[in-house]
Amino acid sequence: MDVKPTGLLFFGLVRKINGKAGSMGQASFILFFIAQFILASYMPSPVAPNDSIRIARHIETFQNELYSDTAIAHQSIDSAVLLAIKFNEPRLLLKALNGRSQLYLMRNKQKEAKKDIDRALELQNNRRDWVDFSSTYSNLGLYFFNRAEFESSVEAHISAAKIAEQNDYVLGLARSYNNIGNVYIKLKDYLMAREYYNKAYAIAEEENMKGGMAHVLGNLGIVYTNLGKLDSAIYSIRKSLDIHRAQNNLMQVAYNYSNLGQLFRRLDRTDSARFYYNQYLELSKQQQNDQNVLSAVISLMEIEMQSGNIDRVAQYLSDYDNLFRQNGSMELKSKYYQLKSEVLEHQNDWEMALQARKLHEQWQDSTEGKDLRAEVEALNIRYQTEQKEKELLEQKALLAQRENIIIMISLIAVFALILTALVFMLYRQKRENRYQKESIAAITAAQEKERQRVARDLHDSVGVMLANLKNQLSVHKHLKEEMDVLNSISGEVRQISHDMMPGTLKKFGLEAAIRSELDITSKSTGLQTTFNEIGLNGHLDEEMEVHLYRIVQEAVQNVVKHAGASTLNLSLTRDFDSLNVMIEDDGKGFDTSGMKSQGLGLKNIRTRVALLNGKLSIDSHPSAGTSMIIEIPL
Amino acid sequence: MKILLADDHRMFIEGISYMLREAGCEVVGIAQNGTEALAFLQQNDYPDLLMLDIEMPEMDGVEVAEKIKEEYTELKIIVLTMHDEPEFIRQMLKLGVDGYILKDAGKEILVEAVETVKSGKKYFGEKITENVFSGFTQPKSIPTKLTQRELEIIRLIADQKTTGQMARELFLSKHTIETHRKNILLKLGLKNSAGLVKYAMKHGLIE
Repeated sequence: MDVKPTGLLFFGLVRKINGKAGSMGQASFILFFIAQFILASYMPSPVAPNDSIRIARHIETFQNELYSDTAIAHQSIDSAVLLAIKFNEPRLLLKALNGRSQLYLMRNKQKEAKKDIDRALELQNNRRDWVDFSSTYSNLGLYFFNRAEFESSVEAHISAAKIAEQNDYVLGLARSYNNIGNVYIKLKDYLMAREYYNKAYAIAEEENMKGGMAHVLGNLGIVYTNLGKLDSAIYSIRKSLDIHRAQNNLMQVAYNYSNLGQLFRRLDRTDSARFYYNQYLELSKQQQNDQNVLSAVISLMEIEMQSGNIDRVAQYLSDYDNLFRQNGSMELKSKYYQLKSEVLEHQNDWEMALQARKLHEQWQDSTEGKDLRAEVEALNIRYQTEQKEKELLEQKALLAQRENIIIMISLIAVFALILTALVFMLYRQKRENRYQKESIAAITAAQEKERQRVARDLHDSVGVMLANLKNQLSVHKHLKEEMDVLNSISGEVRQISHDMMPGTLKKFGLEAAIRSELDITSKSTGLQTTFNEIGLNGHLDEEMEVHLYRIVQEAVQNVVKHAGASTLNLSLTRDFDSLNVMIEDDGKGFDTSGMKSQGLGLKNIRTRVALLNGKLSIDSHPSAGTSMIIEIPL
Repeated sequence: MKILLADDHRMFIEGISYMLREAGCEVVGIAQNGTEALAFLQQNDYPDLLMLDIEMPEMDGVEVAEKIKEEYTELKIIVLTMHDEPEFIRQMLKLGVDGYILKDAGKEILVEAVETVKSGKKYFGEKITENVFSGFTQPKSIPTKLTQRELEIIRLIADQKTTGQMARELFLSKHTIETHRKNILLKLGLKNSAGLVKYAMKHGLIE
């Protein structure tokens, strides 16, 4: 698309007045300035051979004609590229490619520009012509800038700036700062833009780069316009204008006229606006730049239209009718027909007005359809991509969250399972213990019952039969020997019966049974025994009595067998809620740490104490006797 | 001499009856258990003597002896039993039985016992006397209710020794010492160590 600097220079401003038509203008203005910087570095190599000189001359021609005759400029740079390839001059090829991509960018031919930029970047792999590479990156930044890929653009410009800085290429550095400022204008961060422009201006001023200074000033004018500082804007642009005039850079002068015209239109200073647009028109005529001429005419017509000078608008329409039809860009044509239809409406020529309106809409559609829609589409795609990425991230986050929840639930479940298993195992263990205890109790009870039965049978049945026999034989005095045998059998049976279940225990209870047991023990062993019973008062539970009796029996047997004692004290004490049995001897004692090696007797005691939910403690010390204490809850 | 026999062993009773009749005694009745024995007493003329076994079903000899000594004080009782444990003899003597012989004592002793009781004396066989003697006298021969160990502990308490100190001195555990202390107090019907010291001084257990 062709560049239309007139009336398009101030993005914000133009948009407010004319609605659309703005964005290209700002870009164009900025592009011109950049081009100036780049060309300043296209110096022919001093030691170049003839072919090189030819190429350099083409580049020089391109440089000179870029702003005046684009056709010649294009032709020259094409030749330069071709020759550089033909004569294998990579350094010049790089310069030529940089120049040509610059031209394409100016003329909004992005694809072609990108091709040359890529080729230039390829050359970078083999060569280290830093200044030119800085320019390549600069062009790449411009390319992204035109595609509204501002992040990539800034990246490229920063690369360009870095290379420039490292190689003391101050011009390139100023250019990069200027370009970064341009990106910030696009991003509407005017303060950042001003910062970069100020940096660029400082370098340009120090290096006395008049052209550069003028361009930065022009751009600062845009910044000030957008910041609402219109006086500063007018000052900057006038200063830029002065420099361009002094340098006789008529194209830039023309643009500055246009910019000033816009600015004054915004300030409603119609006379000043009309003056600068006329200056712009005249200069463009001199330069035979039809696009600029028509752009100026449109602006002038808009001013006259607003002022109500319909006749003057009609005059412009008829004067420039042919030029619009032949050379007008789509946008200019669209505007031209819009104004034409308005004028015809004023003249009540409705048919022609409608025709003009249709043409206006047609051209407008084509411009918008061509560029804006594509732009919008590109924007849309980018937006959608962003949305998709965002959604993807959100989904990822959601998935991660779900995963976390699942992990958490799993952990809780596993924990609960382990807990349940633990509780179950504990329960089972407890139940098993209880069962074991119950079964031991049952077995013991059955055993005792059996013992009792056998004891009674021996005592009452066998014993009585033996007694009967003895009584019958007792009348026969000569059977003395047989009587003795019979007596010993009888005694044996009685002893067995007693050991199995003493009749005393059953008949007269625990106290009597213990007393009897101790009496018998004393008699048979000579061990001195004492028995103290305190607070027992009557019988205990029969089962408990049997257990306690057996415990005492075992304990006494232990003392008799192992202690080597001379005295045994036994006390049976009943408190209000407990009962304790204490068996003391004055024997040799033993080391309680080796107690596990104790025999079956102690094991039986332990079992019975456990069945009674009691507590057994054995207190012994070598040569200090043994005290066994059994405490049973009641 | 009218004798009632109370025993659940038929063969044995027959033997005894035979021996008694031979000795000129009149066996007026035979009871298989305590209940039958008491019923017999209510329905018939009083016998002079009850030969009583201890181990019987329904009502045993101990209970029968108790009842008879309450309600039929005139009736003499000779316990005729297999039990030779001193505790049995002691318990039966407490109830006031007149004689105690073992079932396998033989005819001579049986007759001797019956004759002795008939003459108004008590009869215990040679073996029984021996057992009863030991059963009665041996526990009483131990001079005091307090054991040597208990006396030691009382003295140490009077010396204001702590449980730990006592334990170390006597090679006992604290638990044993505490049990002793508790038993001593219960035995003497005292409430605390202060009371124990007072008691010990009063009875000359400590100086």
